[in-house]
Amino acid sequence: MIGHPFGGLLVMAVALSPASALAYSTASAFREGCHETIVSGALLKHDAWPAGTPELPEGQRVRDLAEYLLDTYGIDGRSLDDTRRFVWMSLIVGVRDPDGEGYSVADLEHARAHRLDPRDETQHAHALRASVDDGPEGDANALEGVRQALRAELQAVARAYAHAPREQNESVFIYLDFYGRVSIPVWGPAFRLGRALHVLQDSFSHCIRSDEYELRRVVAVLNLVDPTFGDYDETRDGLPHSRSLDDCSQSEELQRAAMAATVDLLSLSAALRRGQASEEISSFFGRWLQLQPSCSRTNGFCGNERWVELATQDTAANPVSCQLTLAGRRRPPNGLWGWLLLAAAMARAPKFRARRRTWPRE
Amino acid sequence: MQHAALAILLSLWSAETACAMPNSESGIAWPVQGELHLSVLSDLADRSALAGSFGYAARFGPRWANWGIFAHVEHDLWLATEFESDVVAGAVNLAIGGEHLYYGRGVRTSLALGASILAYDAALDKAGNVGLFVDFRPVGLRFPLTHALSLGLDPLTLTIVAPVLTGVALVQVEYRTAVYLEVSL
Repeated sequence: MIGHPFGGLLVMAVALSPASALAYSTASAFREGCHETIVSGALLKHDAWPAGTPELPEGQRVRDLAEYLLDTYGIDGRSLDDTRRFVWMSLIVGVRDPDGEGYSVADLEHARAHRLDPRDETQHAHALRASVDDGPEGDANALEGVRQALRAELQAVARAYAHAPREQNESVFIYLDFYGRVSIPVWGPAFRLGRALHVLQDSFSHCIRSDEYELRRVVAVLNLVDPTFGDYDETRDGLPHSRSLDDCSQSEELQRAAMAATVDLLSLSAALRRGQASEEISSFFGRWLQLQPSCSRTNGFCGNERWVELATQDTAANPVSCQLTLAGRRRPPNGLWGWLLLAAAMARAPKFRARRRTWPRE
Repeated sequence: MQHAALAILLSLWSAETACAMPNSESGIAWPVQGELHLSVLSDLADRSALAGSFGYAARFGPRWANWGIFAHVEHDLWLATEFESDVVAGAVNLAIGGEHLYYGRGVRTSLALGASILAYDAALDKAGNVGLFVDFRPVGLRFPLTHALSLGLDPLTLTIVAPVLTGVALVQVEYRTAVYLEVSL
């Protein structure tokens, strides 16, 4: 799990930003790296490496970058050869990509455009209800959208595998502190798998799952877009997006289930590589993305009140209120708060990079 | 707007106070300056809105009446936010520059050019990489505390810290606020 949240800087960013930007969030990198933790755990603890072997790009730069990222995430990469490091890096860049698309988490202009993109396919790609997913069929429709989004990502994996090995690498953008947007080579199949894993893992943070089915089936799909834009009614639109579920440290049980699903999806890579994964994908959906129907508030979401209770501990009407204690208050009249908060943030920051951590942690 | 009004008031007070001081130095003075600086925001498209940095610096050099030249040495530390919260050693910057004092020496404009040296192993480059450093301070205020001691405020500087200019460039554009104490030797 990387670093600790740097909430002070995010608060500062909003405190210093125009008032109209108060409704926007920069989200994930200021929080625990749940996606990265789960992916790294699947690879390093469960040895669930994707099928195939990439050709390493020439030059030292990608090796340096992999080393930097391993260090940043506190992972002891000494047991990994250059090829494994490249695969790990490609998966990590891929699993981060749907949230940032190569832009900074503190790029408020991009965050405004991306994080509040109300299009149905964008919501489904993050395992959320779209605005059209209303009424009793809303959960089923949303989950079908999630499956379609995941299938599209997996088809992209298969297409990446279909290239000759030396053509499987592709260039994508990543945002690096102080450098900005940088184009880097990644192994296409692993990068695409990372994007697919993002959809899957979001179905654990953006859905209520069923205890009866060992968290393998979905009871309800949460809704971000309707609470954000103000036209929200729980009976019609479903439960609101939850900040507490977004924090994977809130429930080890849920995180373990997400890890198991991640390992399962990575095991599909052999079939995707062969180009014969259609049945395996459908079977996977049956194992992890099936709806337990007829669950609602009236029946305690089929006995899953504890997850609903966790989800509603900290709901978020919009992505900024996901993050900020300042949400809902009037912003200070000038940038003074920003300077004060920078001082607080610096006081909270860990010491210099000379520190190294090890991972996985017990 | 509030900041602008405050700056004007401070400027007038500073100039008034400074003007009231006897301008006794007809020869060369040797001021030494110790400084702390801080920057928060960037303004570059497709970049993080944050360019958090802070650091400390020293300036020293001869001054003739209202003109001076100086050597500038500083350590600029950076806040990383993209993957984790961290403070990295940033860059050590060495420069030479010139300054002009006016309004009774209550206001200073300065420009420094020099080298920026990467002080830590960054994502793509190793410590020791050498690039460019530019520091422009259009208007700074100076408040004499005693005959030999002054307090200074540079409310907004334009500082380019670019320790890597080859390959993928590492260029930090910083809008700093700096405060300093200056002793005339």
